[in-house]
Amino acid sequence: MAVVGTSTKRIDGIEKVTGTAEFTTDIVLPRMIHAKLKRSPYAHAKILGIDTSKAEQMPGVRAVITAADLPDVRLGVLTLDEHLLAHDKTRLVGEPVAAVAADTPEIARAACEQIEVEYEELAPLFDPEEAIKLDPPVVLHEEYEEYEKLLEIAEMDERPPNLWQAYRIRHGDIDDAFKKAEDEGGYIIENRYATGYVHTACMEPHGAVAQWSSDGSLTLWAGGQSPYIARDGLAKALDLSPSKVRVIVPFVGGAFGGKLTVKEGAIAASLAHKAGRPVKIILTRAEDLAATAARTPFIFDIKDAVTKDGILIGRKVTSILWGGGYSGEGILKPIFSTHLYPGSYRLAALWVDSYGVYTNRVSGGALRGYGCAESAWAVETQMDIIARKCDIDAVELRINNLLTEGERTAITMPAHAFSAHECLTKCADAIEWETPSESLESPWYRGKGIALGNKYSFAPTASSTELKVHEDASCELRTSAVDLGQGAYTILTQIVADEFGIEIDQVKLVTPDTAITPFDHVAGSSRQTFHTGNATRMACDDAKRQIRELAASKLEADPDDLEVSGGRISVKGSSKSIEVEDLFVVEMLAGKRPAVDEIIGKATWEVTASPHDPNTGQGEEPMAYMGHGAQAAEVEVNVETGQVRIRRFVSAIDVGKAMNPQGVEMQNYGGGCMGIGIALHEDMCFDANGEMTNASLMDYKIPSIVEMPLNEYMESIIVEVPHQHGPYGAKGAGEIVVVPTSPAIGNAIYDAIGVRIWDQPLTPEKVVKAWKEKQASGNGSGS
Amino acid sequence: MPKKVHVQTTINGEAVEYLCEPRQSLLEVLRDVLHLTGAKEGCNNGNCGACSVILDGRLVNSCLVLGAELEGKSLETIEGLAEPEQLHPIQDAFLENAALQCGICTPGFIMAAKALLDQNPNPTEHEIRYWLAGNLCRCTGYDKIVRAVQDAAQTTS
Ligand code: FES
Ligand code: FES
Repeated sequence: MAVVGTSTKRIDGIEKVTGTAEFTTDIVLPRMIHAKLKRSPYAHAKILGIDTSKAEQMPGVRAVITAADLPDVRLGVLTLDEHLLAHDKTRLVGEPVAAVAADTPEIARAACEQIEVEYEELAPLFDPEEAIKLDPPVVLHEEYEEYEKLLEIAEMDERPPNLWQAYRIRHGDIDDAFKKAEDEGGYIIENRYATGYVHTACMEPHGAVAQWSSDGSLTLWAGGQSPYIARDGLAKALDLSPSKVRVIVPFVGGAFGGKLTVKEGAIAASLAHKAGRPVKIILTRAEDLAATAARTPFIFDIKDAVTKDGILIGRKVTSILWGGGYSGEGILKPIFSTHLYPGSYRLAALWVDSYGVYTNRVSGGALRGYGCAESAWAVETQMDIIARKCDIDAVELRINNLLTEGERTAITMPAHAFSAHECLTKCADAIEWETPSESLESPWYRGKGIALGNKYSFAPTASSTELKVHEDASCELRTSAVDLGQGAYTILTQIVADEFGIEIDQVKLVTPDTAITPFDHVAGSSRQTFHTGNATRMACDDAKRQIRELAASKLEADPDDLEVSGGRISVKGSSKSIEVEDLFVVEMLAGKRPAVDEIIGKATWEVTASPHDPNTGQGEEPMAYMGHGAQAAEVEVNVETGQVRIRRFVSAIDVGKAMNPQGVEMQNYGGGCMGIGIALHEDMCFDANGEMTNASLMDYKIPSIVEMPLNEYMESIIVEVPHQHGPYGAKGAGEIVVVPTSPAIGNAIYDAIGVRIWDQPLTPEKVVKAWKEKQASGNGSGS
Repeated sequence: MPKKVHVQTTINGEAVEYLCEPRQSLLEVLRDVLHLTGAKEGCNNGNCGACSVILDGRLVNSCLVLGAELEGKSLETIEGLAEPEQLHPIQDAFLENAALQCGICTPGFIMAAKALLDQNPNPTEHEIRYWLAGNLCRCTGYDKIVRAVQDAAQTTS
């Protein structure tokens, strides 16, 4: 019986509903002590000296560390620009400068207060447009040129000293496109957009537990997205051989891109080493919100050339990613955000200059959609504006501009399993696009909006798995793919059950532990179902091959004539068969053992990619696959209070093959919910000193259950256009679900009240202001 | 360090005795003293509901109650909900309806739902949503949580 494609219940469900699932915060080790961080109160300051003596003398304090206790190495994703603890300078409020481990978290916190740090305050730099100047008022990284860099950026005559990323796309003749639009009665549409400061705000804050063994090896428990990235990061930070580091991933309470770093874990490890005891660190909610990487803003200047019939012929974009003190996990965002400029559309000319800069704010990290969710805001609002300008229906205009299967986008990605049309039309039907919203009584207005989106999944990348077959024919899958809540463990279990024709409960998953489970790149970029799914199928094939070879002599048949299913090996087309158990023999005093070797299937699924030329954005196939989705919203806007209610929401995403339809629905609802929060109210605020002023779940407002539409107005649509390389045709769903949300809502607000708000989030204040401006000027504030 | 407080109370139907510091929250006592780790700390200031428990029949955030306040009271936590081998109908409904993803908010939601159904066995969707407004979930979008509570209401009433 096929289980792939059915809504199999979560294999980790019972532990989670009974409260027995063990998260990092639940881990307790004998003699374990607790760590707290001393953080910088200044956005930009020189560290002149640190006196830890008072803290060290406090009863219950077991270890205090500063940068002087750590190897002098800079860390980072691709530009190595950050120390574990601030060295000579701090570049953002909240940057850790020292750490304490003590018997209780309270003692550790009190001891942090006793650490005296002498700072020399430096002028901070917060404005990204100042930061990008060739002669900026402040330079954050004076030694930038000396840093190790693993990625080439676009060539420039002179690098602005605060710039850490530059990427260009040069495709087609852009000048010609604008000239054509001008000469032939078309339109040139130019606007500036911005996204806001957003935090992953996982319900589980960052944390780790570190323990050393007497042989000098380290074990770290941390709910992160990649045990191997964590292992290598720890090894580098602590100057250890990677083989000396073991990373175990317990249950993870959400990640969304925010749990790629091992910073806290490495600090805990260093404290544990000094104290000679296991150390646990769990960030408070305020620390988690204010001092771990955020989705920092983009500014997009976008200029489109459109024919009078609404065909997009040229697009020019300049964008700046408003980075923080360090490049961090945001390093590739200025590149990945460009995927949406062509998006699903045919574009003869595309010219992009995309930058990332340092400022003295929180560092930029990953958050679901990695740059694409941000650029979609600009691109899909533009499409709505173009449609209105050309007086063409917004769905029709998009369809007229879509690529067709097999074409290449302006960034040379082949449009394969190209489902944009289907996602868009299904979404439009569900929201009854043809029927305008009802009029409400003043001050309420209703309107509908729609948007399309893509999410590419990165390459090069690889996943390996191992599959062991036991004497009772049950299977044990060893994987380093992490279940962050997205359901990876369940889907991989379904695959094994299907491939072996066994029940779900005959599959056991060995979850990420670098001492046991093989390499898997990362639970990110919507890649687990696609890549780990493929590796799992291949490992199953390998194990079945071994079984067939072992069974061949017993069944006196050719291995190729055998099939393995439901715990039996049978000769095709005959009644001859044996059980998997027959491949094992009895050993005195020891039960059964494999007759020859352990039956362990192994496989690695790898996708190579040639990096794009950073000066032209052109190259071979740049990514593993391209995801598609469309979302539509119907909103109700109160023009007096500025309140925006989501009345109806539809999310239609293409997953190639729904491995677990209930799981896809969860992505549609959960992603839509996060997207609604980002569009309307999630907003990290900062004071003039660069300190976050709303670092609590009261003030940093993520959607609660009452802000979401009622069940009957929330619709999930699953589109299945199989991908040639996906397992069973599947592609990932985790990120595309937040990509079109903001523009769909912004476009709906325009439909309701005729105003555009260009910068996210679309808060009540901005709505009221835009409405008043429109009333004063007698027309819309945009398009 | 101030003297510890001696507390005698009832947790999940059993008599329990413990010592706690006067400043310790009920959440800390549950997790660190009694090793009942189903209640989670999502914020420690009453904003997320991950620490929800039922105290003398009332839904409370255990991070906002002191451990010392438990004297003579009766507490229900997620650990007391399921019988051995037999999930509570609300737990079943959460599983069946896929009303959880990462699961860190789940014990809190289930306890909040239990407190609701204990006093209102047939809530409307609006009542469910307003009752659960103090519990945050970053993963699910809530839709399936509402359905799970509706389902559980059907089976328990
Ligand atoms: S931890 Fe108690 S409400 Fe968040
Ligand atoms: S399931 Fe992850 S926070 Fe609710």
